[in-house]
Amino acid sequence: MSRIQLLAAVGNPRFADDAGNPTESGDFSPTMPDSIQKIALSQALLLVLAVAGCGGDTDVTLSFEASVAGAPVSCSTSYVSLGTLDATAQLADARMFISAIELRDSDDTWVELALDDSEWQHQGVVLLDFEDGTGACADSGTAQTNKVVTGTVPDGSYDAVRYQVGVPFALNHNDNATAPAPFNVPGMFWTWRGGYKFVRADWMVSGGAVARWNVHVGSTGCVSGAPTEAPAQPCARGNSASVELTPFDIDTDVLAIDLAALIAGANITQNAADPPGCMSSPGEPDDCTPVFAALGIDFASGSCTNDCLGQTVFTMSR
Amino acid sequence: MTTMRQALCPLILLSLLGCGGDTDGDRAGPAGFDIPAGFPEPKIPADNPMTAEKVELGRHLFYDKRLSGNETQSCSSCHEQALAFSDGEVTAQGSTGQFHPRNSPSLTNIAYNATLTWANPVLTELEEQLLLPIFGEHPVELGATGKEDEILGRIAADSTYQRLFARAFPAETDQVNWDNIVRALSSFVRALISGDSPFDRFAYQGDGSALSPSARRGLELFYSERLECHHCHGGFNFTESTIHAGSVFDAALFHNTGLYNIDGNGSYPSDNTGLYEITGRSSDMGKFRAPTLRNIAVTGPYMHDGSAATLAEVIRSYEAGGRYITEGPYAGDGRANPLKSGFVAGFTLSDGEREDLIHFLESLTDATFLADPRFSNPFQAGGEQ
Repeated sequence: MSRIQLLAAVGNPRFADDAGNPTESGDFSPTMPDSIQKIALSQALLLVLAVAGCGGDTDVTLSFEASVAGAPVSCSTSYVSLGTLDATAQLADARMFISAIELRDSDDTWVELALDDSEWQHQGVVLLDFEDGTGACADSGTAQTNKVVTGTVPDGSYDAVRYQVGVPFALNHNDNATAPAPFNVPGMFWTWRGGYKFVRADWMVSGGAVARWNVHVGSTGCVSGAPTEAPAQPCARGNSASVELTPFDIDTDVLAIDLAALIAGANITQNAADPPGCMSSPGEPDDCTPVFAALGIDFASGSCTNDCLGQTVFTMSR
Repeated sequence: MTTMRQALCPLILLSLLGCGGDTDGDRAGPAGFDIPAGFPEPKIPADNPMTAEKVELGRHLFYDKRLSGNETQSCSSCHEQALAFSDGEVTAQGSTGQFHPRNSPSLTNIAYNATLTWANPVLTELEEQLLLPIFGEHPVELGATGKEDEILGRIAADSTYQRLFARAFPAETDQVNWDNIVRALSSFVRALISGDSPFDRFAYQGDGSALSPSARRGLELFYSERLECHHCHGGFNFTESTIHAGSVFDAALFHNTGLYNIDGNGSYPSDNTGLYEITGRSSDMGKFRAPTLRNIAVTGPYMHDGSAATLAEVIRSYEAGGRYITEGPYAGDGRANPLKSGFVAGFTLSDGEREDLIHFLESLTDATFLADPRFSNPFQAGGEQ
């Protein structure tokens, strides 16, 4: 039992009746004299207070798992039945930035997950990297992978998780050459003007009219004097999906990402408009509209439709 | 780092401050370095920290023909400053007349290379790479093999070198040895940092007039999803194959750009198979490291084998999504190379747009770098500082 569950259980007034196995714990044995039991309980409560009441924090590790319709992500697998025409393709990249990760506590309040600082996590942003730079991913990928988010929340019980897919505007248009990791990762930065690719899921397609169908989701309509200049105002189309998953068991649930669902509504055997695939350009609505719809985003406006609740890419698995 | 900063040469610091005016621009990095605005700090091996004294010794060695077996060539023979330390030849010719299968690469910003040479994923330190041109026998470049002691004797007998070695390696008693020669040469080439082009003045120093209208249009084309140039030639150093002191992700990237397709299965000429030569993996055929585009206008002919004479020729190859060679031993349709990078899909440019793109590439030429006296031949009149 994790600390979060234990604390949640102890905080529950019905604990004495339905706690997991009170007779095995010794302290709570019903055969104990009532007074001793009370002392033991009060000690336990003191312990809880010491940890929870005085602003203690709980370490949290969120596990992510990307798949292609349930099959594990690999840079050397040919996946079938992709998109509207059941195409066969290999993954050539599978990375994304997420940010603003929050958990919902028992008061229905969303609490920020304070991220540990690492090469994958900085300033509230995490790079998830499911490709290992081998096989079809060799053209752009990196050997390193990252499938977890680590951080802390105040002790308590939590039953839901939410996050943004993308990098917040204030951090999105920095110079990735001089920015700290993970912002200096190669292959995820467009330009100062365009900022980062929030989602990169590239496909090498077999037997279609195009050899490659790339999904690069990021902000568009960013106005600046040159591609080498950061925009002063937020981009017209933010293109950042919101994900909310509930009920969520922090200890057992894995946050699943289905890269087949991302392109389920697209025909990846052809490219309706350049560039190949959907690279978020307003000039490629036929390629991008179904991809953005899978993220819950209205492609024309770049905003969530109905809070992105209709997204089909992000789920949970136990 | 502390020792490097403590060792910062006051003269270099002065010259850094003097060339400024752009207060948010250049900053003093490790000794011997001039780190331009927008550039991260380079990655320096812990066992060969930069010092101005090593850079100066390395500069002498770089230009010294006594370093070759037959005293006919120096490093600078194939890496001329005016050509951004490339040589203008299709492929390089060594000191004994043998030809190298590869084009001499520019040494511009080589301190930031994720990997060295045109296609070797495991060659990451200059201290290792330098052994190839000095001692290599297939082909012979400087041809020092078999004449190691003789060459050391030439250097050790020179009073200028006695002074330079003593300054560069003050803690050692017997300083003139190959390890120290390699350390000093590595330090010198690491100092070859170029970041003062018209593009830099435009992008990093806020000079909106540094680029012509045509180059400005070319810049927009370069960074467009239509052309995709920046996928492989992105970042401050115009190559994704870049690392620096803050890098944590590997960037050993290699691409097949569809230059050849001799057998229809993607084959490249047998003496230039790229990454395949190292890994033996068939999927690595024809993969080469994307070079920096800085100073690209002066480093032709282009590609790993010098097989493209001009920038226009290179751009046309990318426009077509590969190169179609109609006759000769290397005939084949590179556009249909099955191992070609997905980003070499082709695009259409008008003549005017192609000209704009070339003007943008020309704006990456750093005239200061090409004539910087700190990197010049110390043996030529006026070259000595």
